[in-house]
Amino acid sequence: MRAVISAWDSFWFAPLDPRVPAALRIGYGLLGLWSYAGLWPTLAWSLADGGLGTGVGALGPDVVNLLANPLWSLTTLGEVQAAFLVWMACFVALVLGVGGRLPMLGAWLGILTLGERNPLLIDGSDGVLRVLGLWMLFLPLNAAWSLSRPDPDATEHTRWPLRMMQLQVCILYVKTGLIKALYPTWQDGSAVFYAMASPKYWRFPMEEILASPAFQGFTVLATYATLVFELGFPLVFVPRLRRLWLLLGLGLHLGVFAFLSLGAFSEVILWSYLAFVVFPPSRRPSP
Amino acid sequence: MRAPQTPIGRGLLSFTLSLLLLIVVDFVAPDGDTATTRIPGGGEVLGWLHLKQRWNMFSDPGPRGAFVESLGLTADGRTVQLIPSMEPPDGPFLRLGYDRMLKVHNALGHEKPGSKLAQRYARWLCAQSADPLVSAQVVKVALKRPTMAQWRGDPDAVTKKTRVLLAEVSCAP
Repeated sequence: MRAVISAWDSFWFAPLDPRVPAALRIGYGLLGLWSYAGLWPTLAWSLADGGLGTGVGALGPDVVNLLANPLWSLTTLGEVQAAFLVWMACFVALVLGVGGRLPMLGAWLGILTLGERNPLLIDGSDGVLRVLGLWMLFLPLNAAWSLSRPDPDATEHTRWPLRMMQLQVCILYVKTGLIKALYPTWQDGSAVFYAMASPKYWRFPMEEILASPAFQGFTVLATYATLVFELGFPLVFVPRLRRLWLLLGLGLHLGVFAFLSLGAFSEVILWSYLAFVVFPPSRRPSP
Repeated sequence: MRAPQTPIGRGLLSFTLSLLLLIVVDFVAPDGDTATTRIPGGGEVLGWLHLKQRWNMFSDPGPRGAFVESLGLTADGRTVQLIPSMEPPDGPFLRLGYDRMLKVHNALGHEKPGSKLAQRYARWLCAQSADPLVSAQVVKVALKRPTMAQWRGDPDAVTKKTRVLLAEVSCAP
């Protein structure tokens, strides 16, 4: 019993390598800039008054919404543009590691606002940044690789927020694997083919490739391999399999990225793998 | 954030986190994607923490699809495309960036004629032309692509297209 309690305690509360949250922080900042800076020319229709927003913002803010998210009060194009610039500055601050926890809070709040004000716009990558962003708020983000002063308490931080991120990624994969397994196209091996046959996601014309028997055979293999990978993702917690599973995921998502334009999903999910990375011991104490 | 130092504090925190994960697992359970939880109050907790989630991407890709045409009728009788459709050759070929209008069009692709979203989008289209418009139309082009076997048997197999008028509004001021 004591061994179980000790293992449980160690799972949640073992000391945290500050380089892991630092890598996550820098990645979150870069991904935010990569994924959202392109929204600037669309703000008039995507988030401001008179656009296509269908969320609460489009109906006018009320007291509850304003308490939950003060950004609801900003609705004109000028206000939205100003808030957007502050949002981008938060991502830059995350890359640099300055400003304490405020940039992370601002970056996360901006993602919430985007989804709530115009749910039509968001996709899985925004969802990953939102749910993992919550746990990022509890990590010592600037304890390494930052321009901030070194955190004197850096060595006292424990892993529980990182564990929540890791388990959340597992839930994502297993859930999507389970629901896929219910559908005929995943059962008969044709799902990846049909996903690739959707021209609106193509990065380049694919008619000839899709007609190739060899490529079609590959897509059947890829369909079943995707199911095995996703359903088996919890194996990432087995130390001897962690690297293999992460490499399989890298191959899967780079393959998707090469063929299909799915927003920033491939980049965001690969960023989440940083939560599983074990860095080699450093030769000198982290700054 | 530093963890509680006492065994009781650590036990309480880890129990709470585990319970939260259990609610998330229940919320995303593959029971038809109802996005609800059987745990009393669980949905509210996830809502407060902004942890509601769905992970059903490409859960059911198949031969059917749709794209949307955003059309305006000018005073001189011309029909102009106001927003590029997301289908080749207007699609996102060789773009590293991401046009989120694709998400709007994806949503419209699931709409029925006369829906609120289609009407709203059509009214918005009226303001998207430098030339005065008489009316704006939102047309869904439903696609039925060749199946994998059909494509293998005939590389020139064609995609069947069916046009459906989702909304038409007058652009008169």
